[in-house]
Amino acid sequence: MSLLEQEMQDREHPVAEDIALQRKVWKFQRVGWYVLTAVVILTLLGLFSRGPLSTVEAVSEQGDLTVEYERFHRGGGTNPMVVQATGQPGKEVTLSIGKPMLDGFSIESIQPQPVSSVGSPEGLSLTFPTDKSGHVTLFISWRSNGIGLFKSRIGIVGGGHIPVTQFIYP
Amino acid sequence: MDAVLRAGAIYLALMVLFKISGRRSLGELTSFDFVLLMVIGEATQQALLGDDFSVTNAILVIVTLMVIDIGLSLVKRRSKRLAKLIDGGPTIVVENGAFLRHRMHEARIQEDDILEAARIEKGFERVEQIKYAILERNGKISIIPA
Repeated sequence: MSLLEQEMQDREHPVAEDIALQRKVWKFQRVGWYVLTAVVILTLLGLFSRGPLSTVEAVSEQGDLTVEYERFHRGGGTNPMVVQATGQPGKEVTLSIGKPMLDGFSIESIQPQPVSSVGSPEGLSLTFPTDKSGHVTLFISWRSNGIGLFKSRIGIVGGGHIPVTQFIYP
Repeated sequence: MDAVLRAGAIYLALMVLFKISGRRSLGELTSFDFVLLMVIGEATQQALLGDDFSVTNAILVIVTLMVIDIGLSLVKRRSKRLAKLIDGGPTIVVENGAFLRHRMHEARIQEDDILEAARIEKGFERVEQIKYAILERNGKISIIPA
C-alpha cells in the first residue's frame, strides 16, 4: 500500500472521517476555482454583455443600413444602439423595428425624435428626415425587460434590413 | 413570485460560491475579509430586491431566505451524507506527531498554519508534541496533545 493510500484511509479515532467524500469536496473546490476564473475571462470578453463577443456592427446587403448593437443583455440594464441609414437626399426615411425586439426591450431614449411613428402588429415604423447626403444617424437606448432569446429585425422600408438576435440574461 | 425566485437563486449561487472558496474563507475573519463580505452583501442586495423597494418585497425575500435555510438544516438532520456534503467533515492533518502531507496539500493548508494553531491553543513548539491536529468543519484547527 502506497503512502498516499495509507494516508487517505478513513480514521475512526479521534473523529470519524469520510475522506473519500472530503476529497470530492476538495476536487470540487479546485475545479470550481478554474470555472470562476473562466467566468471572469468570459466576462472580460463580453459573454455577459459589453465586450468583443457581444458588440456587433452589422451592415445590410445593400449597404444602406448599419446597426451597432449588443448581442447579450442583462435584465433591467440599458444598452445603446446606433443605427445609420441612407435614403434619398432631402427626403424622409422610414425605419421598421420588429415586434420581438419591442417585446424584450423598451426604448429608454431615442435621438433624434422621429417625425412620425406608427405602431402595428409587426412592430414600429419610425420616420426621420435625412441630411443633404441622405444619411440619418439614430441613437437609441434600450432597456431590457424580458428574459431569453429575441430574434428580430431592423430595416428600411423599401430598402435593406438586418436580422438582430439578442439574448437577455435574468 | 419573483421575490422567491430571486432569493432562491441568490441563496444557491452564494452557497456554491462559498463552497468553492472553501471553509478557510470564514474560519479566521480578518478585517479585510469582513470588508469583502460587506461588499459581497452590497452586490447581492440589488439582485435580491430588483427595482421593487417596497416593505412587502423586503419581507418576502427575507422570509424566503429563512425558509430555505431552516428547510436545509432540517434536511441535513435527516441525511448525514447531505450534511457532510454541505458542511464538510473534520479531517485529521497531524497523526502521532507526523504531518499528513497529502491531506494538507489537498486541503490547501500548510505546516505553518498547524504550528500556529498549536502555539496559540497549547503553547507547543514542535509537531512531535501534537497527537492529533484536526481541521474542523468551521475551518479552525484543533490540537490534541500527545
